[in-house]
Amino acid sequence: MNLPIHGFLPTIATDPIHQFKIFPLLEWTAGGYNLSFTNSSFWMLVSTGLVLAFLGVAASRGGLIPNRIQSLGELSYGFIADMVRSTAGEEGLKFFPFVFTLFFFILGANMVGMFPYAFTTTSHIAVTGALAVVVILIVVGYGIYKNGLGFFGLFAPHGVPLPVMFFLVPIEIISFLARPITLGMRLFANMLAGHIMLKLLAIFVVMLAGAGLAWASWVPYLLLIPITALEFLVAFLQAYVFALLTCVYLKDAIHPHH
Amino acid sequence: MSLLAFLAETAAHGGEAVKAPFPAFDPTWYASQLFWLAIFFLGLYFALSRFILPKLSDTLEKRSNRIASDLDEAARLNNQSVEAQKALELRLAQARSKARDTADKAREKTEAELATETARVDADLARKLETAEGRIAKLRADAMQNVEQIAIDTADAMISRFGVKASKADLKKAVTTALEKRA
Repeated sequence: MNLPIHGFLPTIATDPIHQFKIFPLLEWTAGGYNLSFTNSSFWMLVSTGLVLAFLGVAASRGGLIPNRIQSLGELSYGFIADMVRSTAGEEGLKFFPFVFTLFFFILGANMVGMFPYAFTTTSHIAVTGALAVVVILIVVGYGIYKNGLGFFGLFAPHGVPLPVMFFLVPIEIISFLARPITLGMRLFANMLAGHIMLKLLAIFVVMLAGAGLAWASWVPYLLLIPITALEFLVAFLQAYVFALLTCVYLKDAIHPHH
Repeated sequence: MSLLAFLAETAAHGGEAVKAPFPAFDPTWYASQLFWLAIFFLGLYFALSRFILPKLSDTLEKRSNRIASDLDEAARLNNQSVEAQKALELRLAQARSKARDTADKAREKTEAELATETARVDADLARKLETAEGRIAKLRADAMQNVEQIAIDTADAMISRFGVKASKADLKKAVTTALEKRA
């Protein structure tokens, strides 16, 4: 019996890596690929469902005077729209729905992952890396569609003397190629490390108590509280950073000559 | 990575976790993860870009339009009230000058009437005074006439007591002279 949580609910895994394990809920193989609906898929469904429910309720009211949830939805709209406008310019607003989806998809996954027994879908490189690759593909695709070969002017900044170009262009190319890797890795590593840290501290509390040092287990327990708060901040911040960097990269696609 | 591997190894209770690759890098589920990521991300993107975001932006636009039109309406009403105020002041000034005219006219009329009446009464009084003075003069003349006669009679009576006789003409002459001396 596989519940969409890691292990059975009453069981507490003492392995900090256990929480990242994927197991199938519905086995399905198509075209030679294992496309099973896993615990990761289930929690992705939950997080997207919650995001959709929140934004759906916020948008559906459409009142002239917003109530709390509508106000929150409109604040989110303004927040992301301002970010896109100030980073990528007016033209960047074309990508507003994409950036908005990206932000809320990651935020939802990170936040849902903060709940005990839930699976953090963004703690897997396959997910964050795929999102990063999609971002870079959109940047390159739009950049070439919009500017033609002029897009590659991104690698050769104006007003740089020719000898310096020999050094600068390879550096620019390498830094550009590193973008999808760093973008995906940042989110993945933050989520992974944060959850391992929380788990280790929690295990430490139980282990100390089990070893008859209940008084000492207060130390990791009290430490766990601010760290949990910090992880909530990181969950938001990483979603924001991902969306912000997407905007910065989109700006390069729109105006390659900086 | 070495730390994670270490953690995985030390914390594992069975042999399974040691043999299996680190779950976050386990390629077994890459296809499944990518497939479901595509489904959910595209689903969310579709729902947001088609329905939710247009609705939100519509609401925001409607609100800002409403606020702008309300502000316009407020400005229009404000102008209206300023104009009404001006009209009121104008009317007030007109009414005030009209009232002053009316008051002036009334005063002039009253003064004229008063002057006429005063003149009439003065003339009347002067006439009456004249009549009265005439009568007083006549009465005084009559009285003087009587005084002369009384004086003559009195003088006649006095001297006759002294046994002297005087003619009427002499008496009259003496009395007249005496009266003239006193006057």
